[in-house]
Amino acid sequence: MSTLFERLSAWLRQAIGRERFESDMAAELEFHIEAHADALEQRGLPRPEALRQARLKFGAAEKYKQEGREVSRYRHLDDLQADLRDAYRGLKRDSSFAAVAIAVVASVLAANMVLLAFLDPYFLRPLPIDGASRHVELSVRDGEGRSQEAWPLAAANRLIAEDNPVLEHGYLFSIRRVIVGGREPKRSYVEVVSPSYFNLVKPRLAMGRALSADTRTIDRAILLSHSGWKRLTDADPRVLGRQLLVDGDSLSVAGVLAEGAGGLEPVTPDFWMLAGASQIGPRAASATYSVGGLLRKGVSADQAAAALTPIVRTLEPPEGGGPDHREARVQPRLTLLRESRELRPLAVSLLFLFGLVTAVAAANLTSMHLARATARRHDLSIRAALGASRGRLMRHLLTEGVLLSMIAALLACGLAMASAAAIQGVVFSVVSDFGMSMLPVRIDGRVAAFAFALAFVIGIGCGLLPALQTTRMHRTIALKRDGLWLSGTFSSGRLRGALVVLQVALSLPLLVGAGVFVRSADNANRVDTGYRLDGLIDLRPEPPSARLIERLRSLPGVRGVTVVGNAPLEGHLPRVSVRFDGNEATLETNEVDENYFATIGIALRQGRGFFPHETASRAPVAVISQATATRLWPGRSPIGRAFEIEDTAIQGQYRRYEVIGVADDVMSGMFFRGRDASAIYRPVTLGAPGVSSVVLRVDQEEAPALEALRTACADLGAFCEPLPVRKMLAQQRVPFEVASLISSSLGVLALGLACLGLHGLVRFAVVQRTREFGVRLAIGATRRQILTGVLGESVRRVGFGIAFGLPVCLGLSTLIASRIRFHVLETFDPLSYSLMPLLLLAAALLASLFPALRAAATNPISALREE
Amino acid sequence: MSTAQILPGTLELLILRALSLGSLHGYGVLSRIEQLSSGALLVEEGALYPALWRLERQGLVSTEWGVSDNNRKAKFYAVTRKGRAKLGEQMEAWDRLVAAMALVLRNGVTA
Repeated sequence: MSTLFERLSAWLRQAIGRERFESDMAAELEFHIEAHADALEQRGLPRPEALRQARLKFGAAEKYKQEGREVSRYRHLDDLQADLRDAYRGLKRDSSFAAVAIAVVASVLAANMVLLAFLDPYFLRPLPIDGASRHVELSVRDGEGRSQEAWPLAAANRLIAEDNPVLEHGYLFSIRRVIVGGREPKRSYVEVVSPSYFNLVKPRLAMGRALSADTRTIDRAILLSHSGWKRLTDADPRVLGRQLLVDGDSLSVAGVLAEGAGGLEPVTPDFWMLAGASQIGPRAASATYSVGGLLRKGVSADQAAAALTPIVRTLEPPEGGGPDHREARVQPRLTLLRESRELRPLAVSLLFLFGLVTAVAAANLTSMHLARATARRHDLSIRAALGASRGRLMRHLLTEGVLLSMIAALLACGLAMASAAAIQGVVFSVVSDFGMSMLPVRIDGRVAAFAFALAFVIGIGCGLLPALQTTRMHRTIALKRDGLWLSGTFSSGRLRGALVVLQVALSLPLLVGAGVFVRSADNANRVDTGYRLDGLIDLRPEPPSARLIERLRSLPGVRGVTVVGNAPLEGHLPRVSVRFDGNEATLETNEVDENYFATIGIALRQGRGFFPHETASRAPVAVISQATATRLWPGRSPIGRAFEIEDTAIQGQYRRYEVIGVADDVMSGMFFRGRDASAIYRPVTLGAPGVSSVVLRVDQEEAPALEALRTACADLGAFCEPLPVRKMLAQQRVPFEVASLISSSLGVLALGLACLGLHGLVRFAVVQRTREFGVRLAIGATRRQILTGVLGESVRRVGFGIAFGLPVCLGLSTLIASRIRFHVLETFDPLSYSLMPLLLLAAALLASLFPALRAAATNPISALREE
Repeated sequence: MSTAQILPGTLELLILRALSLGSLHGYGVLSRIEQLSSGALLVEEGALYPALWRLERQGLVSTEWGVSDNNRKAKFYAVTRKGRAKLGEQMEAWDRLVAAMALVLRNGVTA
């Protein structure tokens, strides 16, 4: 291993001209001797004798070279090399200490690296465009605080016109869901953009070309993302020019992005196409587009907003010509993820949890350094006696800490790569089912640099306190001049005790957090939607037709077919403003046909469902959920009462509905919000705008049954991709599973670290106190008393830690509860709050049991003889 | 003529003075000091080099590799502007010191 050092230092020396320095020095001295010998030779001495005399006269060349090195700029390098060598030898001697310390540091470094690798591409890296710092997105806020973020194509095009005074490289975009392919159609996400999008985003291409205005005139082209290329064409190497069926429309492939390249969205779509190139799908005509671009140089976001407001007001004049209070808003967007109210507390609490686990590890490492420094008192005091200054000793100790961290950082890189790949596999597999892909998580140079920087900080930070403490002691001893150790108590013991309390206190929030999140994931898995999920299939036929519905209904194994606006668990239900009895409320609404309640299996509590003639004529009748009934007319029967819903198309126009039935509360939007707090079902039939989903109840949802559905669609010239509703639920659960995975890993790590710290402390204390135990046993203490004494001390420390940790937990829970309300997330989960401290206590007892038993087994005679 | 060891701390001054007459290699510096002192000052040969390197590090002399009279590769030293200023200062300080020493020592002798 010493050859490793030699090789490393040789490399270092070469790297910074050290080799040259040495050879220059040697050449200069040699010249001197030669020149002197020349002079002597001229005076008649033979050459060999002249050289001998010259060398003698010169003196000890090596000594002068050493002086030269000391005045040179390489002195620090030499010292560093010597320190590193010493540190390496020291660690090699205490290899068990080194192994544990490296494992501790490597585990937290790896955890932090994985976190950073996930966050970096979304939160920290600037958008991959020139002028990313000027990138903005537009929205409009009206007088009542409602915001509009997308416009019809013509209006959006006006906003990005080239004569826009404040915006350049303006582009429009819209994410749309489509079905791609004929035989085996796949659900897919497409980003529809303006040609100007690719003037700004210049993606790296694997083949072909990006889309431009020319492309539009020549053909109807699409640009595949790398993942889209793999998913939709099975990585066809000759894909250029190939036709793909997109919602039944034939489009040709113009290019494929390189791996890792993407657009400006956090989730990379399967492909891009140009707005207006193809008006495909039932929703294309009503599609709206968001607008982004770069602020012109020197224009601030506020100035831009002020300049855009008049343009925005001309886009769609307000109904009735009243005063227009709409105002443009310009939101800087510098990274892939947009700032959001829910994301920020999530990111902050994530960072906080990782910070906690890092702090636990740091306390642990500090404690280990203290123990080691105490154990090495003798060694250090000899060095001090030989004249090493305090600074020199401290540097020696710190070098050891840094070397240790650096080795740990190397190890952490490997660990992080392996775990990032594993986590990525879990998370991405669910997402990719839906035609989305996420950026690959890479442990790249940035992440590694961060790890080494953090390792350096940990190395210095954790070594500093022990180094100060130990070297202070040496000075006192040196002053006492007796040069021997007083076997006195050493305050590092108390410090280490405090560090254990700290570790326990910091671990507790992590453990409670793990408990809370694991429970929430468990709740999410056992969630009761209010209807049976088995055999519920969401089918998105393109185009949907009455013939197709009839055909589906006649298939064997199909128990029910219903046409809906929003399929169960598809996402948030649309919200509408409702007037009733002179009051106003914002409620969620869905549009369903007469078979909805029977197909899904929602019981009607009062009244009746829709009749076919009501859905066909979109009659002004409604079924409301139990919760809605209670909310609008508490304690009274809602049947026959009426309310009004604002028309989504015409602001200020209301339509009157009569309540004909009350349905059970079920989960129809996002499952984590629980059963719908409000739901109004309105009658609708096939062909109405906004209605595209057909939901089936089938006997079997295995692959052959789904294949039969596909074939039935294909027979009638339609495309469809059956998706079990259960899968939608699975997708919604992903964040909870990820949170559970992360928090439980951190919890386990923290528990392990805290126990390791306690174990180390107790074991060390037991060795230190062997003599004391010997004396106590000799004067009549029982072994049981020694055992309970040692264990009692551990319990007391853990108790203190828990007492300090609980308020932190409560504070965190309060913070999270105030920001995030999920029905499955019980932030004050009593089980976690009561079990986790007990778990910590039990683990701590176990960790101190073996050293305590050893203390109890002390042989008084040998213990006393030792001194 | 009898020789004398140089006073501690004066070697740098002597080197700067020797170099102020033109650039020299290390051996040349040594020869010039002996020549200027008519062989009265003895410089420990090897000790010359750490002193030269210290001056180089302080920026008082600059260095350049060249070829010596007898056609060998040698490192030549020259006084920098900063070195010249330093030499001026030190020479003044030395003069003051010598005058003060002489005053004390002679007064003591004559009294």
